[in-house]
Amino acid sequence: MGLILCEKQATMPYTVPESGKNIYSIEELCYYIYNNSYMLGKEFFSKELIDFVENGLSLESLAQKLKRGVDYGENFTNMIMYILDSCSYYDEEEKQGFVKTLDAIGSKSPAERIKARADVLMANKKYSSAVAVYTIILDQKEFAKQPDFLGDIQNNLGVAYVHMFLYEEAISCFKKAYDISQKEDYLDNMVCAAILLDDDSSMGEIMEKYSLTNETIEKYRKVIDFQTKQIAKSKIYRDTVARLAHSENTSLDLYNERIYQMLNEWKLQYRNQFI
Amino acid sequence: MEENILDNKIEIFALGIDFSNDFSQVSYMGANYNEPTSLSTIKGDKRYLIPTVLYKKRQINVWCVGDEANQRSYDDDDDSQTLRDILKMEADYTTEIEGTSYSRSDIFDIYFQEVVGLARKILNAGMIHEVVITLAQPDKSIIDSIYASMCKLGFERERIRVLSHSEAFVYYTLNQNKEVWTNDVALFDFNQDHFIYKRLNIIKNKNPNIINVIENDYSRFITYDMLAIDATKKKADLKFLEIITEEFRKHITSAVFLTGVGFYEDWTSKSLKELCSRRKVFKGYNLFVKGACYAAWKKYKSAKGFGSIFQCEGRTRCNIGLLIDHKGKNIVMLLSKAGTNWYEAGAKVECIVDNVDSVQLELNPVISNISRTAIIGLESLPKRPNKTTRIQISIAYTSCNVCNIEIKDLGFGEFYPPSDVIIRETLDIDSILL
Repeated sequence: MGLILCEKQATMPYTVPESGKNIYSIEELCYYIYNNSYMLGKEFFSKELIDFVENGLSLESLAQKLKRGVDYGENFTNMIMYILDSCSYYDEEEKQGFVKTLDAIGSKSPAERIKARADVLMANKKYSSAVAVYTIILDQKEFAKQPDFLGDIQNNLGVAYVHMFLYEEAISCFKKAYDISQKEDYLDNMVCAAILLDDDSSMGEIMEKYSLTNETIEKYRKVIDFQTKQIAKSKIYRDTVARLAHSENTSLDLYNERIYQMLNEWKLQYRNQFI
Repeated sequence: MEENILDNKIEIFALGIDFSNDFSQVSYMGANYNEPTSLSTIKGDKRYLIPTVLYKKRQINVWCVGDEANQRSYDDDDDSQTLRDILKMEADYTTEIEGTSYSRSDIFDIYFQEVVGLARKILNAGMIHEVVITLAQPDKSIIDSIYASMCKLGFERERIRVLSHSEAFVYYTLNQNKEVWTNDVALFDFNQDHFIYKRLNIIKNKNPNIINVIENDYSRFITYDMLAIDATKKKADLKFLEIITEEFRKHITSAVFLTGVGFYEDWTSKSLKELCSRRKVFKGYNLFVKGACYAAWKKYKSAKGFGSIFQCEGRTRCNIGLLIDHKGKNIVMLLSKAGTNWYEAGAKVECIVDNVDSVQLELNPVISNISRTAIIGLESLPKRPNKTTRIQISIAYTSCNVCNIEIKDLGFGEFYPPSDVIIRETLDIDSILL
């Protein structure tokens, strides 16, 4: 407890591939590791990370340890502890607690760990990558007898598809989730996705299969309408509309440049979904 | 004497400039020099004092300094083209000559251009490595202006230093034979502006030793004007005798230096006799400028310090340390060392805030060794989870007694962006240490 003296900050950050987070200091690296333990695997200790530690942070001794660890297949927990021990950000008690967390993660099944990674990818808007990871889990035979777990995976997969505007795929996943495990949330998601898809036959199918009335569907529509109106009031929406509008006072060249810039931003956002 | 000559120019390793309100002086050291040499404005002569006067030649943008400036002003019989009392000009001073406005920083630029230019010309100097300027009481705005002016002349900032006269006194004294400073060393500095007594003593029961300079200002009692007529000259002599008797009664003094134009006049018949009793007495005018040159030489040679801490005008009075957590224990990390030239005594450090709501600074004066703590609250920082606030703590002195502390919120990378919060506190060192 007190003021912890900081190490040097790097001019150029290290970008963690899984999350896109930029790391500038050893303290931030320790913080990231501590708070994203499920995300980490042996591939975390990449050449780029070690290069950053050596040249960006000027921690040559730590970089040498990590290099040796990678070369000789050092135990994952030891590698993590090399980093946490290289500065005073976490005290002994916190580090010992973290070792227990790592051991607990280590005791989880690979699929559970993978699910945690996928969930973190979702939280970081890496939807395409999350879809890939959820799909890997669904291919594992061991979950056939774990309906709750499978249901969650299918639901999360559906949510990822919604974020990617792939409503048909999303509906398919929500159906599977609800069929496995009859949770209200899965049904809600399914209906909302169907409303967003705006396809009568798809909606008709859902209503028939799950015995939903028009009044019930109407309630969902009202919720979506309300949320749509809220979005329309948001700054980001208003700014986007303003950028898309062309007024007589704006030259066509300037307008085209603005649109081009927006498209590039959207392309970048889309690409950033992938690791 | 073999000198470093490149392209027919002489290499100067150390240049000292005494920038006083009445007279300026220059001294220098080059290759194979054992001590500083004072610069005479007329080669072969002993014209070492350069009146701190600037004169702008009529209708052309050419200036002159020193005796030439005084002569031209005298010939004009008016001071419309002349600038005097340069060191008494306030920071926002401006004047107009021939329709052009000059600020104090413009005047400083011209002054240093002329003085350094004069030195270069007389010495046929090429490269000048280190420059130290000394003045009686340097304040921050004057020091800033001096640095700016010297940088405009092509000197790198790292090659420039500004010292007080007390600091120059220390450098000069410690470069004399040891027998000079076996006991206390006294200095009387008497010019048209002041009559100041300084006493240097070395406190040896501390580790490291402390070189202490105290100062008493007797300008109210002895003034330069008193030397104009015999009656007041005698009064000055008696007053000086009184001062000597009182000051030296309490201290064993091995050497006394008399400096300043006030001692050129013949008025010290009684006092000098007392002064010379059992002491070495040296009279001269170039103690400060040579002290400045010694300081520049030491820097040029990257020589180690004297192994002692300076305690005098211009130097910081206490160590400032920051209380930090190191492997679970609270320790004090030294940010600023006592005895450092205050202008150079700043420091910056970055820390993560871990469950504390204040920064604690420990002030430790070297003489009394009784620490005091200054606590600066961090309540105005944004509320974030623990250990996700990085702060930058800067300390910067604005005089040897006043230290500004600034604490800036740096956020925590991309996890928590920084805010605009900056916490500022001014420490009055004397008040805290009382």
